[in-house]
Amino acid sequence: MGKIHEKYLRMDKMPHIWCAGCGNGIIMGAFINAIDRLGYDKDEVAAVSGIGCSGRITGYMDFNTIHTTHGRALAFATGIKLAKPRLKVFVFMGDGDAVAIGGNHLIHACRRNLDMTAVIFNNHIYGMTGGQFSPTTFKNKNATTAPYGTTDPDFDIAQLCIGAGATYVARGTSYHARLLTDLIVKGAEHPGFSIIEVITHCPVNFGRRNNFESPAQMLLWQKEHGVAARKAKTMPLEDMEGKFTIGELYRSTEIPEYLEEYGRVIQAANEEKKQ
Amino acid sequence: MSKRWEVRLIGTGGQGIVTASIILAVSALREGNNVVQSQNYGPEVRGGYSTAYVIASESSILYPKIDRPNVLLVMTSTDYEKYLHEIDEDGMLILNGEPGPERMPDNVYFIPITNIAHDELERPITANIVCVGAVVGLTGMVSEAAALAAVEEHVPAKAVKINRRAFILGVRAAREALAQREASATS
Amino acid sequence: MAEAKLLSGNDACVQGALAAGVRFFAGYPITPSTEIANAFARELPRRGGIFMQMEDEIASMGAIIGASCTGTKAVTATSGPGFSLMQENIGYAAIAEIPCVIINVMRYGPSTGLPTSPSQGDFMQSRWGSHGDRPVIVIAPYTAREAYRETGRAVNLSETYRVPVIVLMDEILGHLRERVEFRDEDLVQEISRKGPEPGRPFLPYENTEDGVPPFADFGTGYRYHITGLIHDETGFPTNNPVEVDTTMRRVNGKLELHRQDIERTQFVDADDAEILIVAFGSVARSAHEAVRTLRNEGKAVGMVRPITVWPFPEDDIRTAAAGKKAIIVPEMNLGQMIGEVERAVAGTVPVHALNRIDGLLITPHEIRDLVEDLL
Repeated sequence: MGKIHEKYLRMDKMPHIWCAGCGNGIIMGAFINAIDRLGYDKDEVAAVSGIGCSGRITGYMDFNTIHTTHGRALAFATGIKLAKPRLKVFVFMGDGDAVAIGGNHLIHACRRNLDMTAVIFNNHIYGMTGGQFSPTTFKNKNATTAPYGTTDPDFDIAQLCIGAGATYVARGTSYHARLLTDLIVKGAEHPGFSIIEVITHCPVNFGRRNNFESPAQMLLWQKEHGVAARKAKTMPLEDMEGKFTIGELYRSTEIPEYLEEYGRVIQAANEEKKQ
Repeated sequence: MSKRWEVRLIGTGGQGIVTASIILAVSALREGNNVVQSQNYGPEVRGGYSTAYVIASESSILYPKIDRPNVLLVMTSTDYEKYLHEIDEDGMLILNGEPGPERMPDNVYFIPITNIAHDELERPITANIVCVGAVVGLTGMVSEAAALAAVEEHVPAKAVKINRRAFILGVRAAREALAQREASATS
Repeated sequence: MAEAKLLSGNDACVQGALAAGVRFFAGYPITPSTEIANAFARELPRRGGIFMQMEDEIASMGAIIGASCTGTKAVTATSGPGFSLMQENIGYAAIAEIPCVIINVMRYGPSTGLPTSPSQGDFMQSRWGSHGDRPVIVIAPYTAREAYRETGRAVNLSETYRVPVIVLMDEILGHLRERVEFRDEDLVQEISRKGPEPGRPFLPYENTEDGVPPFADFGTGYRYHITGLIHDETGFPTNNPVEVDTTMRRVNGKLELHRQDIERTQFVDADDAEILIVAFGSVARSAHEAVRTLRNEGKAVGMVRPITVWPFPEDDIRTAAAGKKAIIVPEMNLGQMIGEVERAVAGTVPVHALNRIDGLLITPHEIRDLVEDLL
């Protein structure tokens, strides 16, 4: 493990800015383990992130890294991948990035099916700005912009992505770290747009306000509420109340990858040119 | 080309007015002139008001707009009084239709563009090319040969023949109108 | 050099960009710039390039910045509301120093405004539209021929100085077609950004003498970090006041070091003129026409036309204005460039505004009338 850290992280950038007990480090660990298993050359990996606590991940990892604007990571990544398809492109977003300010970019990236892998850190809160509710905050939770409890219904990111046409959708948690590595590996190997939603925890700005006494308790909550997708299928519906599925939720190989399709455009354009 | 030609075409969207103006521009360009062509559309792609124009001149064209054209062709109206004040004092007004019984001002010409395209060519879509023929025939701003070559370049390959005829019928109608005007002037 | 042809301003931009080596376009359709997207969609795949229609203008800017990170020359085009949406990522490109070109075919605003009518209302937005101090080069052609050459130059300046470059068109120039006959001086060179020096440690935001750090394309073995946070020479975030100050002064000052290369100004009968007109873009066509007519009548009038409008050529204006009776600044807005002209002449010559905001081009006649009043 230690060796992997030294190989993939910019150790001179430590310590990171994340709070003690934050889930982001676990996700970063799962990610570099996945890269190691995939055997990708670090020079051939591009890591793209948005804004907020999750956005800082690119600064700590030793790849071609770019920390973009709030919500726009997918747009930047789309340009990188299209212009240099050889690169393995990974996108890191928070829940605000992915389904609030960047929601439009998310659904269109799902629809296009360009071969990239997006990891969404869903901690159900705006952490860096101090605990405002996000589009994934559950109802009746406390947030600095919801002092009387949240009223907005929340998004199910994975279902949203399936609906928008993503061809690989998985959900993991920061508790199930090994599963998360597996899901990232599978997502990266999938030829098309892959989404891995990670249920994670913000002890300082979500936990403290919502009756979690410690980060460990939040991890336990993930353990108790995350149900393997395969198992969930056999469970009575009422037992799934308040819980969420984890694992690979959707995969399709029927929709062609975007650049493969674009190859046909180039072919058609060149045939027309010859005439 | 000793003068600065300022030609405006008015029609409805979808009539091919812009293409007609481009053909006129290319013809003038091939004859060594400077040209500017542009258009205004309504927000509707079809059926809205559409106006296109061409400026052609031997000297360089800086100001790219027309204030009072010296040729104005109106596809959509025969109300010459309405359009007469929009043209330059030496200008020519061309209207799509048949002249009424009353005596017209000398600079107003009627060419039955729609009828030619509809009845003689049986292809209403060629009206814009009839219109090119009419302008070239009435003004002589470019040679018929240059205009015909430009017509052939700007229509689909399979429609070259019908559009060539459309151009020729436009020129012929223009000549007839000029001859008639001359006859009535000398009578 | 080539046969005369009929070319629109919008198409000329595309041809110029392609000649300069652009191989990536991302955009979102909007009047009156849409023809630019149409032409790139047709032309780029034929050259092995990529055309991408994005979900909005914000994404379009993001995508061209991303493409540029790999070393690919990238362009977007927009108008009015789309240009406003791009400002966030234009600021990003400026501070992260990613080369990219934005063609803005100005239309009448604010808001939806008059979508098919021209305006010069984005003169200031193009310079100051993002939050914070940011460098930018803005170039305003006035003919289709110039749109070709200047878009090519925009790409090259962007690559040379690692700065976003805006080609400031307007509806009139974008939509008109005119005779273009390219000559040797219109030839667009292909200039690419300078890369890291082999054998020398690579500092992605090095405080180089010329103000421009070397750029390493993604995927070429330099694993470094790009961020919109203020960063030090290594590219990593800093809030150390000395480092912040150093970065910001270099990034915002680098164009000043290269003004001579960046500026381009046309002078028309300016030397012996009593009245000087300062105009850019389509309005300069009317101004030029007015000068031509008035000179034929023996009247001493001239024009200065900034082609590079930002950085504003204040020295050119100041020199040309010396000893003049008056300056006229005609603009299709309520007075934006005039402030820069006044600043340049600093009260030494009276400056008169001529503004039109009815969606129509200022005519040579209107300019002539004002000149004659002032003579």
